[in-house]
Formats: sequence, structure tokens, C-alpha cells
Amino acid sequence: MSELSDGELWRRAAAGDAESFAVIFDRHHAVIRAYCARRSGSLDAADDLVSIVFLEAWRQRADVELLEDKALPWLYGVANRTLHRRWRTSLRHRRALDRLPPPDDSPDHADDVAARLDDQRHLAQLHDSLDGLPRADQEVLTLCVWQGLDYASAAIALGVPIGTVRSRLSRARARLAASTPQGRSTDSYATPHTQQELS
Amino acid sequence: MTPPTQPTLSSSLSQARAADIRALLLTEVEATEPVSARRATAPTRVRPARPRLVLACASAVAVAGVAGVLLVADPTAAPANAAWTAEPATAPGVAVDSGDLETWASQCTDLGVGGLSVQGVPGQPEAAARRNVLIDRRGSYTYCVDISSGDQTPANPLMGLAGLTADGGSDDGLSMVNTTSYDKPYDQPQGREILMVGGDLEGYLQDDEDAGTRSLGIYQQWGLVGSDVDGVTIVLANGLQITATVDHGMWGAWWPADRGTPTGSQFIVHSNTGDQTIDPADVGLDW
Repeated sequence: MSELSDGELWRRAAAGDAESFAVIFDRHHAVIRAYCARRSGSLDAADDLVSIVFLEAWRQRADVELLEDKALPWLYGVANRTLHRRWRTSLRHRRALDRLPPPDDSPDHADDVAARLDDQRHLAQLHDSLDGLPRADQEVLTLCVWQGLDYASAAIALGVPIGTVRSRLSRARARLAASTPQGRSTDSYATPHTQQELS
Repeated sequence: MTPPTQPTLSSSLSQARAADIRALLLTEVEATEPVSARRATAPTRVRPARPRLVLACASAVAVAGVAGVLLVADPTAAPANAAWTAEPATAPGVAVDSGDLETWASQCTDLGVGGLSVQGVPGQPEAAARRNVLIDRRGSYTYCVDISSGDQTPANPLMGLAGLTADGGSDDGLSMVNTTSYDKPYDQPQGREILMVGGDLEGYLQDDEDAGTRSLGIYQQWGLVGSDVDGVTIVLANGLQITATVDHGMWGAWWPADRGTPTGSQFIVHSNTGDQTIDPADVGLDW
């Protein structure tokens, strides 16, 4: 089943094949978690939000429209709307999460601890970089720069025309560059590649 | 040159957690009816996504077999927010019949406010049952806020939940919860101070979001107040003044999205030493 396209998996899931939806989760949850973490600034929040995003995606399944059979742009859109509402969710979703066993506080391996610390530093640096920018700028930078979406996919995620993505990204780059202290080390950015992207 | 991107993080969901969520999704999918083949066939047309509905009204028509608050358009329906009032029946100084208050409080219990897990912090129903919940009543809607101050640690963070329900509710009792979990240091409001714990600082719903539907998009703001605060008024940029309910050291209010957005709103905090106008951005947690 893992070789099937997202579109085929969606069609099967919508027709009642639960495993197909689970495969979509397997395929995309890490990326959606990363986006939720970058936008919320918290790994714990992201671990919580990723569940809600997929529950919400399922609730909205009748409205899904995929670009080139790819589910990810649409899932980013669900994540974005979930984040906009600051974890406002249906009570049913919250109750469903309540049925999950409590998360294990002790990571599986020392490597996991190190990875989490790395991520927390990354999120803090990202927050410092984007703090003060309008939310729309932060969204488009996160999607197009860190998550690597193309303009068409970002347009679906943000619910705006492609031209708006282009103009927002251009404006966001300019604002971020203007707010960046001269001589600041690229190490102080969330990723070393960001400064290159922005210059 | 296109820079490399990092669509994932170094860490990941634990295998156990991912398996739990996967199992939960399987349960959810198996518990719902298949959608029609026509709708399930995903077209390749690009359609901008719309923010979805956040509140189901009492008379909302739920799609058969679909969980939650998925609604259908019904242009003949009365406006969903017709019963909303800027001045709540629970405004400070307004006498409320104890029987009414008891009835509204039972709706808060139905929402499970305070007893739900948030961001990995397990729900604490017993502790929640011992706390007082703020009850805000506007028209036929009950809005509840419950905040546990915690001790500013990941194990016991500040936790807040706000929930809204309409009389009659949906078959799920409705409907929406807004949650905050915050484990960083913060100053508990003292005297005339106010803290915004949850809700909206910016407008995001489109103007036509709820046109022709029997649904309701809302904005909300809620939090904690010091002991000298007698009342809180939210003043929207369009001039609409919304009186918050203030009780048990908490404050809270909500309003239909078509009445105005929170962008540019201000708080007027009332106390026995006078009124002070505050920018919400200055008194919010550092989300």
C-alpha cells in the first residue's frame, strides 16, 4: 500500500478503508509535526497538535481537494487553520486525545534526548528570527523556506492565490532582512541556509 | 541558488506515541460512514482552503455519520448569532438567579472544561471539579472558562480551557474548546492587573465565512485578573464594546465573527480606582 499515491489513499480512506488513512499519517506526520513546532514554538504543543491535525483532516475529508494527487499541501492548510485557532478544537477531538495513553516522558534513547534539545534550540532561534513579523509573513517564510513548499503548494496551504504567496514571500524577506542586525552571524538563525535565502 | 530545506526536525514522535495516534485514527475512520464516491474522488482543481466552522448551533444539521461539527448551508435559517448579546447575563453586578446559574454550570460540566488533557498534560478531572469555573451567558449560549494556575513547570503548567455551547446543543453536546498550556514563568495578575491567557489577538475568519450557514464563527478572549478588577470591557476597532464576565479571578468574553475582529481591540479594565485602557498584546502570555 505504501506505493500508492496520496490521492489513491484518500479515495480508499474516504470509501471506508481505515488503513489507507493510517498510511497517509505514516507518510506525513513528521513533516506536519515540524510545521506545528515551528509555528507554535513548542515540541510538546506539536506532539499534541499533530494528532488534532489528522483528526481534523479526517473530519474535513469530504472537502479535500488534492494538488497533483499530493495530500501534503492540504494537510498544511489544516495545520495552519488549527494553529490559527490556537488549539481550538472540537470537543470530540479533545476527548479522543484523552483516550490516548499518556505520553512517555522518558525518551527511548540518549539520541532522542539530544535530538529534542537540538530542536528546542532550533525553535528558539527561529522564534527570535521571526518574532515581530506579521503572522502572514511568518507563515509564508516557514512554509516556503523551512518546509520547502513550492508556491502552488503554499497557495493551497494558505488558501490564497499563487501571486499572493509570491508577494507575501517577497515582502517577508524584505522585512526580515530589514529587521536583521548588520553583521549578525548566520549561526544565530534558525538554519544556516536562511540567511542565504534571504539575501 | 535554492537553499536546502528541513521539512522535518531532528526529533520525532516516539514510536509508541505514533502507534497510539495511528490506532486512534483507525478507530475514528472505522467509526464513520464512507463518503460518497463522487466526493471522495479528489479532483486536481486547486481551491483555496477556507477556515472551517468552529461552533455548531442547536439546530445545525450534521452530515450523517460525520463526527463533530460539520454543518451544511441553509440560507433560509435565521442568523446563528441572533441571540448573542454584548452585555452578558453574567456581567459583573448583574443579579443571576441561582437556578439559571446551576443550569448553565451543568453545560460547562458537559463540555468537560478542566478535565481534558492538553499538549501531553493529562486531564485532572477531580481537581477541575473542585475549582470554580467562570460562566458567561449571552443569549442562548453558555461560555465556560477554567484555569489552573499550576506551578510554572512542565509537570504542572498553567492550563486553561474555554468552551462554548448553545442551548440544546448538538448530539455531541457541542462543540468547541480553546486550550492553553504554558510552563514558563509568568506573573499572576495582582490588584488592577489583567492577563490574557487564551483567545484571539488577530482576526482570521473571512468576512463571508458564515454567510448563509447555520453556523457561527467566533472570536474570544479570556484570562486572569487581579483582585481589584471589577470588570473588563473589550472595545473592538469598530467601536463595539463587549462586556466580559468577571468571576473567580477570571474574565472571559466571546463574540460572533461578523461583529468585528480582535485586531486592534483594546481592554478597558475597571476597578474602584478608575478605568485603564490596555493593549491586549501587552498583557498576553508569550505564546
